[in-house]
Amino acid sequence: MSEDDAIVLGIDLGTTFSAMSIVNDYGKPEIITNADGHPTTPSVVHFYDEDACVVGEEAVKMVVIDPENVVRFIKRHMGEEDFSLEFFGRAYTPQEISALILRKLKEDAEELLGKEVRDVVITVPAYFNSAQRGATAEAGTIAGLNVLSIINEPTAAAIAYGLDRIGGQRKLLVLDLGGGTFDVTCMEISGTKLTTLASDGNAELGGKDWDDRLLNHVAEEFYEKFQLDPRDDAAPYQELYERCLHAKISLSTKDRAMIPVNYRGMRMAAKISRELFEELTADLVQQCEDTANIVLEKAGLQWSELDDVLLVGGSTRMPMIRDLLIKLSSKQPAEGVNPDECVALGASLAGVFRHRPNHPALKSTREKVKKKAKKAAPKPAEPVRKPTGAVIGLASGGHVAKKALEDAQGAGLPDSSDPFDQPTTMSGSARSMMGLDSGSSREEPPEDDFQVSDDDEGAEVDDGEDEGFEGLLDVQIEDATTHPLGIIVLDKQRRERVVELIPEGTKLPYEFRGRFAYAYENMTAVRVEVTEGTGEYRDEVTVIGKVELTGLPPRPRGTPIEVIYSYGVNQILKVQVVDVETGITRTVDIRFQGGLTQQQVAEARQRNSRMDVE
Amino acid sequence: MDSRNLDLADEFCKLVSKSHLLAYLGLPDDASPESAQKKLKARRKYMQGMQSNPKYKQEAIFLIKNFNALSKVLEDPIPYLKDAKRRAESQHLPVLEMTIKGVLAGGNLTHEQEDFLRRNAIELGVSENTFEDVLERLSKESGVARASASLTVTAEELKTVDFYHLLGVPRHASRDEIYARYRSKKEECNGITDPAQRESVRTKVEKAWKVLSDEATRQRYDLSWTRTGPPARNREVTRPVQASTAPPIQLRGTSPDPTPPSVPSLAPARMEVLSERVQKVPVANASVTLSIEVRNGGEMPLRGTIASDQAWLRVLSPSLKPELKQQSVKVQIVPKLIEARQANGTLTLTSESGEKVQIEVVATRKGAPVLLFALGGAGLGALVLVGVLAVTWLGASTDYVIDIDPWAEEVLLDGKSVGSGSRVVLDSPPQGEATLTVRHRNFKPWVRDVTIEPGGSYDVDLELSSRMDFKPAPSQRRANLDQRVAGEVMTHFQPRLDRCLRSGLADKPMQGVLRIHVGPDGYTTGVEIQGDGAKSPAIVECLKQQAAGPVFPPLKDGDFATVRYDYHIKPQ
Repeated sequence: MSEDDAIVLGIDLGTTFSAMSIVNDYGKPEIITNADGHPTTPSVVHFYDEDACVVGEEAVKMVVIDPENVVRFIKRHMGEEDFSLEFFGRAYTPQEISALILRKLKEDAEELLGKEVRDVVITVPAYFNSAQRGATAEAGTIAGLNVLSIINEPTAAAIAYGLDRIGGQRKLLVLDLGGGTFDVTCMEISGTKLTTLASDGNAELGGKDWDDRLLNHVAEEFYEKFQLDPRDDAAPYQELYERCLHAKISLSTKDRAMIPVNYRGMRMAAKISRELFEELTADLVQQCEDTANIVLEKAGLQWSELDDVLLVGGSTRMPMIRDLLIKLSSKQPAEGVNPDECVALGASLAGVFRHRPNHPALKSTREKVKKKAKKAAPKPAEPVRKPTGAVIGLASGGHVAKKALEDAQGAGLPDSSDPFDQPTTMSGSARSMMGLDSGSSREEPPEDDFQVSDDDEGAEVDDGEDEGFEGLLDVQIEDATTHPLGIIVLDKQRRERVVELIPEGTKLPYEFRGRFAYAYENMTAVRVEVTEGTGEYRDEVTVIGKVELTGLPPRPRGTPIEVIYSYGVNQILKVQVVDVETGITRTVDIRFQGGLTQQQVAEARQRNSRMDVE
Repeated sequence: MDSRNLDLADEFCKLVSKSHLLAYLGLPDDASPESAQKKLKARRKYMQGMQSNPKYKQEAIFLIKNFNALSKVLEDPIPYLKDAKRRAESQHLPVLEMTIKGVLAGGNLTHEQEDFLRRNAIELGVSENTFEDVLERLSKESGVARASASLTVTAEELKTVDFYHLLGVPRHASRDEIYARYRSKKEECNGITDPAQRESVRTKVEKAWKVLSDEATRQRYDLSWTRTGPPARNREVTRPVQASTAPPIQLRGTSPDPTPPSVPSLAPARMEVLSERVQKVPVANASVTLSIEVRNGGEMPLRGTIASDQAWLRVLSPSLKPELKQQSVKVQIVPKLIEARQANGTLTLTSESGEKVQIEVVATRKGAPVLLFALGGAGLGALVLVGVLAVTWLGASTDYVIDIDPWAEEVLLDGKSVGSGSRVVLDSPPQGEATLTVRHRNFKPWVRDVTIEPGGSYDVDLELSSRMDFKPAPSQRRANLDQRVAGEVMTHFQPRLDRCLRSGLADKPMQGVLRIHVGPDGYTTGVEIQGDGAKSPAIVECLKQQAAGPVFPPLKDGDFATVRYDYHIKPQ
């Protein structure tokens, strides 16, 4: 049994709530409830001992009596190197705290499924930068998970939504307002292909900001009355925060809400009408509107050209956000999407599309397609420009080439370390299943406990059930970069400059080839520093990786060096530096780093495994 | 000591508006490093529970991220404190110097002005020593003599004069209380008609302030009194024994406490209100609590009530607490209920025995000039400072005064710079004919031959050279203009702007917004008028002319800044 058949858990690791899902054998994504039977788990950790913590609803309850030992909103600090919290004498990085949440999710899932879970796909806001993505991946590793991919939340939401709407050509706007982050992404569904057209957002704007406005208002009213500010004490603040949070939620369905405050023996009930709440947060809504307009502008679209608008994230339940979207697009937001769950659902689907070519549901569909294809002669395959290996997917209804099937069966995958050297020769609608992370090229031992029998008659089952789509269709996901990537070079005055090589919004996969030259005479080594961010100077950008080419023969100034950036769909940037004359080459995979060294991650993983998570 | 850590400590203290880390932790300056570090650690732990609290978020996250650096700084508090004080001074010195120069440009320096400057300096975190040095240097440079230089308190006076009594403050009064009394006493002086007597009283009040304002002098003074008889201020005593040795002071209005010494038998209760009869309170949006000090002059319990005639003036404790010798009656001013710019209310304190004291409360909305998008921290001290100067800015009769409408960047006499501003006073002017040149970027140059004689004056009306029609384009970046400086400048100009508005005032109130756009070099580049003021071309012209005058510090980080003035003028 190959590991290829193991469960892929899709995890939406949210600022306030997390959710998880798997794709069942029939190709349907399902939410996995936590141990309490709830579809979402609060991303809150309470440390109550040196080596014990509790995650979820129980932790939320503790915040009013032990605020110093409760962590919430840790996602807002992901990727911040200098941030760490201390509990019972031990410092925890944001990665380690997130890892505890992930472990709780994993353990709950294992209990429900009765199977071990190792492989996961975790979602991040589209606007997360490489450090934040890296930190998320590190959190997974620390939790003892194998992070197959980090994917963008709006993309995941669009996959979940688009699954039922495959076939046509639609333009889609995904507005994702979560607890702590805000993302707007414009996507296109064309056939079975899902393409990100443009994306923007704010990692510092979320439902929490709405809560804070309410909280500040109530606290100020209280202060006016009693000259006491409930924000000044940790526990009363947390209690008031919880009340404001609930008032916000009830204001989504009711016209007014009461927020009771009891602080230092003084009592007051603040009456909040929906109008007042909207007045207090008008500028936040304006920020959302501005971002949405920017994204449409980037995508080169008018509001009228959109076919669907999709609301994701619990905060989009607020009428003011729905109204904003209706005002802008003159359309009702898409129905039938659960804003809390669709990201997790999309994550598990993406995991199957990208990493489980042999999923029974995919196989069954393929079988059916094959049967149909037997009737019609296959179209000749067209050569596809390099690199295409990173585009994953198998279209249904199209023509399946023989080689694709062979590859997809997973048995005889060529032992290739570099998928870019394996250009597939499939037509645009039927590309190879072999991605960068193709299962069999990994070194991990296979998993034995997830059994999928090869003679599974999935197709017949699907036929009988008819769930709105036939089995599971492969969807191609075309992501785009959200931050520009560049290189540090010396200009004519030998000053450092950043040159942008892959602009923001570039569709993945993408390859850049460029020639640079020796800046000095008789250099024997060159260093390529890979940067992320917009800016001309080193200070304005972040260096996310380095490639050094050493042992070169001394040659004059101007000797050419070729630099190749290949950016795959699974967030791996491959940087290749070639000395053109000698052919000396060095290739480095830059998996986005979250700030910890491998050693640190390994240590954290050790510590984490000893921690008791409830 | 690591300068990066010191920078972080400085940044943190600015964030939490504390002068240094020990003050932040509530520790004395000489706290041990261990106790300071321990307290910092406890604070960090506490702040972990506050990091999502919008009010403390920044503080919490800064503390969490830079805990090690801050803790390191506390390892050696002495050099750190030295550094923190130096930083505080160097940051505020330019503002202080500018303010002092502005005052000195008036030609003289009264006690009152000096005190305002000193208080301002202390509020800014500049030590009194540094302030003295700067004031001494600048007054020498400008040739303006300090009034306080001639004021010496003799040893004899220290022994015989009861300065507490003179000011009418209890011995345990705080410096602020003493200051408040000192100011009101000085105001009372102005009511004395006989100039010689007025001057003599004023000098005594000044001397009292000089002795009691300085903690060291006050202590020495208290000690000398302890030895000669009268009790020290720490003990609750309301009346000095040697009251009779104090020079008789005849003041208009309230008299300074003529009550006889207490006698063994229980004297009937007597309501004495120590606070000013007129309370002027600047208010913003938050409520302000006012304390009225009431003392029982007798020995029987004092019963009484407090009533207000205004809704915005809330009495928090409507009756007096009979058992207390002295108490604070708390009154709250609720600005939301005040409709006009200024409101008057009366508090009536009535005692059981029928004594009645009325206190007038005047609440004035402050913060008329508001800066858009400026950094936080309103410079109120400075606002008051310049506001007072505008009143007392008068040249002596032997001087030659040049009044410039509205403001000159440079005034030259025969090519020699003699000053700047809207009034230049020449205390020893060259006699006879001279060429007077007045320059300002926004106005046409003004050159005339004038005849100068002592006591004379010349009015210069400048004509605008620019249309003042700049409007910020969306592509331009808004700069941060130091709110304190802008506030100072604006307070000086506000009466002039109001005068323009008032000139067109019929019998209706006028309100609206005036925006002054400032260019990168600090000069006004545009004036936008909205509201009632925009209706009359004469007012618009006048406002443009006046608003073209102020010169702000050059902008560092943007293309323009905007000073906003929400005017609200009522018929007088």
